Amino acid sequence: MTQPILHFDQISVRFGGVVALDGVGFDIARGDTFGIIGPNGAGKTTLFNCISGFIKPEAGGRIDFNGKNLIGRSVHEVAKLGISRSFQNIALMHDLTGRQNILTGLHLRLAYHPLASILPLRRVADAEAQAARQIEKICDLLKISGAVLDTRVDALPLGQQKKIEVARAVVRAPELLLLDEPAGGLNDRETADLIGSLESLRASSELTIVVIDHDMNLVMDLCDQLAVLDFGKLIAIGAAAEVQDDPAVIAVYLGEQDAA
Amino acid sequence: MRSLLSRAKIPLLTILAMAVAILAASETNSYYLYVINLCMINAIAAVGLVILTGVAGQISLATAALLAIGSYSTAILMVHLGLGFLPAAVLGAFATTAIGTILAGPALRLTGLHVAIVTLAFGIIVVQLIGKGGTFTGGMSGMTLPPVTILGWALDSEWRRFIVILIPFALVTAGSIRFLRLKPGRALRALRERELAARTLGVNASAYKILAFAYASFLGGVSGALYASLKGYISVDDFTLWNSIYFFVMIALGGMTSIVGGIAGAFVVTAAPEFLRGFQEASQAVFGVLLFLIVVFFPGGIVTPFAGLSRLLSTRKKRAAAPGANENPPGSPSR
Repeated sequence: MTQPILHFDQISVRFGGVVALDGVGFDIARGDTFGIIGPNGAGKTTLFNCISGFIKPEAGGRIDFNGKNLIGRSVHEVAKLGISRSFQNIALMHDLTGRQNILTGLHLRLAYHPLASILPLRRVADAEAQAARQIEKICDLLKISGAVLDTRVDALPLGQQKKIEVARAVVRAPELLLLDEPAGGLNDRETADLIGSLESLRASSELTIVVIDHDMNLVMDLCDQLAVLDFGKLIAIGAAAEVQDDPAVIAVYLGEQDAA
Repeated sequence: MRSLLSRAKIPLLTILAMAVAILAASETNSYYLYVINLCMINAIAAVGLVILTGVAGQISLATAALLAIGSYSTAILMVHLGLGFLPAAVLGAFATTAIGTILAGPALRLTGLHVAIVTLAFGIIVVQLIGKGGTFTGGMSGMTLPPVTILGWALDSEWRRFIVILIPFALVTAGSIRFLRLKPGRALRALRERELAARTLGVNASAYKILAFAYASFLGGVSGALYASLKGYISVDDFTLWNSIYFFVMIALGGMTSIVGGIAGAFVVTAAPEFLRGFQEASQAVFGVLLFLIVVFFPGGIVTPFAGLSRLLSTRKKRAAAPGANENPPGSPSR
């Protein structure tokens, strides 16, 4: 078996007395589009935060990315290895344009020393021009129009803001993209539009995508593999169609719907 | 890259306009030229504060202390080691960078007002140490600089000082505008507004905060060295907490995050009291009222009316073309 891009082993996180993740372990294969579903408080975002380096799981756990352990690395080091993410609540700079926001996603691709920016150097200008071209390219792919790019993001509809956040995360061509509820708050048309963009992204690269969402439509349309979390425990994993029919999963989801 | 060219022209035009104004004024009175020199010196430190406080979000009340370190280290190197002004100023600016960057240490572990308190304490310590420095720093009676020459050229008139101050002022302005608009400025801004997201994009938060402190400290040091050369005599009274607060007022007037705004603020705050002397005892009160009115009517800074005008002219077309630009989507974060 080839090495998985992401390997979790015995990941446990406790906030005070609350168990957010309880010995979670599974693999994600390179090139997959992988969904993680589960009710609120199941530990999905906590798992992302462990990957990003915001939260350190309890001792004994491992998260290997291409065989390298991520636990203990700082957030920017994890980013540098090729992992990028979006956030549940949009984390864009509202008073800047889409283009300016996406430019911050190219931080790691602009190799010049920050102080070199002071001088009118050729290599700084070349790097910035290259960045501008990369933005055009990613926006063509994700179908973000030029007019949207040059509008302040707080004047844009939520669907466009979500796409800009995805563009910011993928413009530097990471190996792994983590999407935290990309369809949250979107209407059906906006969700379909986002799915279209993510599908063209997947078709054009080797990118591995991991999606967290409540929205079963998005997850079912997009993902080939699924993991289901409930109260911090992994209760099912496998091909999307099989997991959907798993009695344990149906119990979790129907149970939640009854309560709601 | 067209925007790069046109933006770079703004400071050049500012400087050009200033030069013309000075030429007109200084024919009659070299005092005006002295005020302009002081404005440029303060503007250099204000630019550092724009980057540290306005953009990086680290509230600093240590600006006067940085100026003190820059001017005293220049003076000490000249008086006690017999160095010329130029090497003394360069070493003084680097010494200020080294000492000022120490502040990044506590600032990395603290936030907001706690950073302000640490920088305030730093300012008090620096002034106390200089005041207790005996003959080394001149203690409370201050230090007089030997005659300042650069490569044999004596800085013995306001005009000559103007030229020597204009060069670093222009370089700092142009360099800082680029710094702010390119990768480091974007990273600092992202860290202030969206620290978690910025870090997941690969921004090393600690390294960039240290960079912001180093940048502001270096400019504070340069400003202090030039201040010493302008005045010829320095004392701890020049570097009180009030001075630090005035630098804060400068960047607040300029809109906090704009280099050109910070420079404009420095010119207003430095020059206004001089030009308000006609009001005699009431001049401080008039200055206070003026500051009050500016902040109330232009909370975004004194350059906003101009920036707003140019933005209106250039983006009206784009906005009209942007789909959904006027919609207010439900659930969109409002700010």
